[in-house]
Parts: sequence; C-alpha cells; structure tokens
Amino acid sequence: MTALTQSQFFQQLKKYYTFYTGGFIAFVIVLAILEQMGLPAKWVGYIFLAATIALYAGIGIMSKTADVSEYYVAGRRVPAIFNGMATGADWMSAASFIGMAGTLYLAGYDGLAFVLGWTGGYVLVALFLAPYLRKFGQFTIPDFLGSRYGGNLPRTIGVSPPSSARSPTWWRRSTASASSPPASPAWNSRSACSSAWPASWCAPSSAACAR
Amino acid sequence: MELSERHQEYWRRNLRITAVLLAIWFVATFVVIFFAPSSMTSSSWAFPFAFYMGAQGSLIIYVLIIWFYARRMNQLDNEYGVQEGEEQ
Repeated sequence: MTALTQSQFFQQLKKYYTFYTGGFIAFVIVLAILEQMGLPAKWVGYIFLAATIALYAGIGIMSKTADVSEYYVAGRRVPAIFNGMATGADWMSAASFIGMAGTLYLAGYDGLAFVLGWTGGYVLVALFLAPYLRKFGQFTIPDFLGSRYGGNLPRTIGVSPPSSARSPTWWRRSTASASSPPASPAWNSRSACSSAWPASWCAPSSAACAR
Repeated sequence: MELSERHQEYWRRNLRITAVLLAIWFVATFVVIFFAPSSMTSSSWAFPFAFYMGAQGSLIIYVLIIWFYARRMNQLDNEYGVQEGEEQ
C-alpha cells in the first residue's frame, strides 16, 4: 500500500470505483429480474441488506490497516474528485430524499432551514475548519479544536453543536407568518413505495418498506 | 517555524478572501431569510424569490463559494510556495 505513488493510487481508485459502480448497477438489474420472476419483496429487502453489509465488510478487510492516518483519512491521498463524490453521496441520503420531502410538505418554507443548513454548513466547514483541520494534522473537529485552543472545553464544544444548533427557534418565529402548513398531512413513508416501483429501490433506504 | 513577512502577507490575503466569501454567504442566507416574510406577501414580487433562494438559489451560491475558495487558495498556496506537492 505505502509503496504506491500518487498516480498509481489514483488509477487503482478509479478501477475500484468503476468496478463498484458496475457491480451495483448489475446487482440492481439482477434483483429487478428476480422480482419480476416472483421473488417476494421481503427477500429483496433481505438480500439488499445482506449484500450491503457484506460489501462493507469486504472493503474493510481489503483495506485493513494499523496506521492511524491510513485508517481515518486513507493517508490523506484521496484525490479531491473522489472526496467530492463521497461528500455528494453523503448529502444524497435517505434523509434527503424521504425525510426532506416530508419535512418540506409539512413545514413549507420553514422546512427549507434544513436544506439551507446542510449545504450552508459546508461553506462554514470549507472556510473555517477543513483547511486548518488538515494543516493541523488532526482527524476530527473536537481534536482540532482541542489542539488549536487547548484544554477540554473547546473539545467539548466541538462535540455538542449538532444537538443545540438543530432547532433555530428565532428563525422559525420570524418566518412563521410566511408559511401555512397543510391541514391534514396524509403523507406516509409507505406511499413512496407503491407497487409501481421495484421494491428494491426502496429497500435499502427505508426499513419500513422491506417489511 | 518562523513567520516571515511573506507568510504574514499570505495570511492577510487568506483572511480577506474568507471575509468576502463569508459576507456573500451571510447575504445569501440570513438577509434573504430576514426579508422573506415581506417579500412573499407584497404584491410587487410576482416570483416567490425567497422560496426559490431557500430551495435552490442559495445552494448554488454556496457551491460557487466553496469552488472559488478552493481554487483561489490553491493558487495562493502555489504563489507563496506553501502547497502540498507530490514532491514535497
């Protein structure tokens, strides 16, 4: 692993990513065919779950390491484009697709606080944390705050913001007049998995659909 | 490591870029939201500007801010010789 140059590493990553993407597409197609042939939706869900866990375990075994820097940040060699893809994939999660649709339907304009917060937060991370995290040679934000300011108080502050920053009540109040939530929200998570869709599309993101 | 005059200059330019981008971020986020109630009720706005900004406009600005910052700081790193190169 350590003997690879940057360009070799890049080539290898490209190979892995292509293989993974092709494999995933093939997997979905195979499951869709199996479903058409009469495989129960329950089993499609189980297969998806098992395959995902097996894949993660496989990646974990393939890239096992005892080096801390290799473990947390892959030796800090992952090219920006691959890191960007990983960040994008993080954004496009089940919470974004299923949770956000429901939140926006229920809350109207107020729900956009989450959309703004998720992407707007990236700006703050990019301007204030990410470059310095890297320059300080740290792996996590609490680590960085601890080494930059010293002591355990900054470290604790680094751990706590997500819970306290979730609910911007002042903002909610100032815009309350602008939105009018619908009277009876009939939306539920099952309606996204109606029979028109292959069950395999819904299975990994929502456990309720697999049952 | 001792900080030379050049390092100080690099840091000042870094701070200036950060301040300008943060100001743009602030306008795209909080100023737009602050004027959202009035802009949505007044009849002079045919287009729901505040809603569009929250759903898409501000996000595009955010992505542009990040892209510009990364590009500009790379240039600056190269100019002042503090980049993380392959050979370094």
